[in-house]
Amino acid sequence: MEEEDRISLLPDCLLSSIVHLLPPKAAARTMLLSRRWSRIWPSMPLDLNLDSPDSDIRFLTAGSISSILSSHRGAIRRFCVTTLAGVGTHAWLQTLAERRIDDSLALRWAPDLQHPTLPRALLGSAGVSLRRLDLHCCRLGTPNATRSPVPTMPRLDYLYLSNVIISEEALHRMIEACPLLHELRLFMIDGLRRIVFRSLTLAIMNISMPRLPLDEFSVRETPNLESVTFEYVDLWWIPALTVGVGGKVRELGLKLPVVDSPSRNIVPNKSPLPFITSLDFGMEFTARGQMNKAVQMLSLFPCLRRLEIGCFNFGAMNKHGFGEWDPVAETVICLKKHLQHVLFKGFCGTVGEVEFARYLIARAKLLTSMEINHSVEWSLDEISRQKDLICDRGKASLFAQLYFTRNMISHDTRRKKAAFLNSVAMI
Amino acid sequence: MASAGSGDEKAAAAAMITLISSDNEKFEVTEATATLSQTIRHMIEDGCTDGGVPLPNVTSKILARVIEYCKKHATAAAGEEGSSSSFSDAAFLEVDRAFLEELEEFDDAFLEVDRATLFDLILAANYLDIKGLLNLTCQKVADSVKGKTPEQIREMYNIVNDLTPEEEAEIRRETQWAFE
Repeated sequence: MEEEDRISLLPDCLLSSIVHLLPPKAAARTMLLSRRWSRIWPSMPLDLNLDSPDSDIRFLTAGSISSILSSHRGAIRRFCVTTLAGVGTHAWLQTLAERRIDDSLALRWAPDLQHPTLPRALLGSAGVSLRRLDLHCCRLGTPNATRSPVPTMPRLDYLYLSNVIISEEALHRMIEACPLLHELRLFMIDGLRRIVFRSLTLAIMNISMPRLPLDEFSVRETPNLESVTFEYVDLWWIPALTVGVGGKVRELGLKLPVVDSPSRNIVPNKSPLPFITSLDFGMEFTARGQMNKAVQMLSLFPCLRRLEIGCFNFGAMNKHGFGEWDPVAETVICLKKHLQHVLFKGFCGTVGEVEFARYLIARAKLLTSMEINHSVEWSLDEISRQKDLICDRGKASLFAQLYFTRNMISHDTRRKKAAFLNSVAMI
Repeated sequence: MASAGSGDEKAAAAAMITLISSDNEKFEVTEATATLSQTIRHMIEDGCTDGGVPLPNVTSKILARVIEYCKKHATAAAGEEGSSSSFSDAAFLEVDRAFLEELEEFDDAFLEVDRATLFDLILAANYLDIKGLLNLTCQKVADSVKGKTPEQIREMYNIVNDLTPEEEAEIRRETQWAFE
C-alpha cells in the first residue's frame, strides 16, 4: 500500500493548531521538518509559557532567550520565562522592549543574584496591552523614584511582584497607573511599609512576607476590594490598620506559619482579630501542648468562617495518642458562631490529626463541610474507617458533611475533578 | 417505523436535521447533536436546512464518526447546563465524576483510528467548526510528535525534507535551545 504524506494535506491553519498544542521546545523543533513547516512556528503569535505544566523546559539562559527572539519576530502573546541574570540579559531585555507583548509577561530571575533593571520601554510601549504581569527578582525604576515606572497599563488585570526592588512611592503610583487592575500580589517587597493607594477596580489583594513590619494598611481608597490575604504578616504589629470600614471586603484571610515554629511564633496574649474570616496554618500534631496552642490561637479569631490546616507529619505516627483530648471550647467563639468550612491538607490519619478533626466536628456548631485531603491513597474501606474515627464523638452541626479528597499534584483540572471525591455522608 | 401522525412525533421530527455526506448518504440527527457544529448552527439560524444539509467535504464514513462524537458530547453539554458546579453538592460531584470518566473513556476509544482517518476527522472538525473535536484530534497528533526528533517525525508522517543543508544548519543554530 502506498502511503500518502497526509499531514501535508492539512492547510497551514491546521498545522498551526497542532503546533499550538505543543510545548515550547517541541513546537520550535517543528521548524526543522521541511521548508513549509519552517514557516509555521514563526508565523504564529509567540506563546512561550514555561510555567505551563505541559512545558518541556523550565529554564532558559540569556543566550537561548536571544535566539528565540531572533528566530521568532512575530507578535508575542505570552512571554513567561525563568532565567538567570548575567551576560546577555541586558541585550535580550532591550530586544524584547522593542517588540510588543499582548497578553502575559512573566520574567523571573533566580533569586539572590543581581536584580536586573527593566527597561522603561518594556512596560511602556512594549507592554501597553498586557493583561498579566508577573515579575520576580528585578528592579523597577531608580531607588528613590517617586513616579511610576510605567506611564500607564490600560489593560492590566493581574499584577504580581515578588522580590522586586521598587520604591514605595513608585509602587503606589504604578498601581494607580493601572485603571483596570483586578488582582494584586506583593511578595517580599523591599522597603514597603505602607499599603495605601487608590484603585477603583482592585478586588483581590495578597500581601506576603513584607521585609519590614508594615506601618500602615488601609482599604479606604480601594472601594471594590473583596478579598485580602495576608501571608506571614504580623497584623498585631501594624499601628494603622484599617480594614472593612463600609467597604465590600468579604474575605480577610491570614496565613500563619507552623504552630511552634521557632522563627515566627505567635506569642500568647495577643488581642483577638475579629475581622479575619479565613485562617491557614500548619501543624505537626505530635504533641498535646502544640494542639492546645492551636486551639488557643483559634480563640483569637472569633469571626472565622474558613480554616485550613496543613498537616506536617514529619515525626513518628504517634499511634498511641494522648488519651482523651478535649480542650475547653467556650473561649473559641468561632466554633460557636461562624466556622463553616475546614480543610485538612496532607492528612495522614495520625492520632493527633484525627483528634483535632474530631474536636472540631464535635464542637463547631455551624460547620457545613470538613474536607480531608489525604496524601496517601486510601481504599473506600480505609476512608470509611477514618470517617468513623473522626466522628466517634458525633457532630455539633446537623449539616456537617465530611469529604475525603486525594491530594494530587496535577494540573489537569478535568482529571482532578473526575478523581475528586469520595463523599461519605455522616450519620 | 411505528404509525406516523401524532402531534408529539411531529414536534420531535421538527427538531431533526438531515445531513448529507459527499457520497449522498443521509443521516438524521437531533438539532442538539447537529448544533455542536458551529457551521450547522449558523445554517439552522439562517433557516437553510430544509431538505437536508449537504456536506460535500465529508464522506459518509467520516460523517458517521463525527455524529457519534457529537451525540455523546451533546448529552454531556446538556448535563452540564443542568448542574451548577458547587463543590459542596456531593450528589452532583458523584454524578459528574462518573460522567466525566465515561466521557474521557469515550474520547480515548474514539481516537483509536488509523492516521488517515485521524486527518480526515481533523479536516471535518475544522470544516464543521466543532471546537472540541478539533482540539481532541489535533492534540492526538501533537502528542504523537512530542519528544520526537525531527527525523523521527518526518519518518512517521512521510514529510519530505526540502530544506537545503545551509537552511537546515541555520535553523538548527537558531533552535539550539530546543535541543538541549
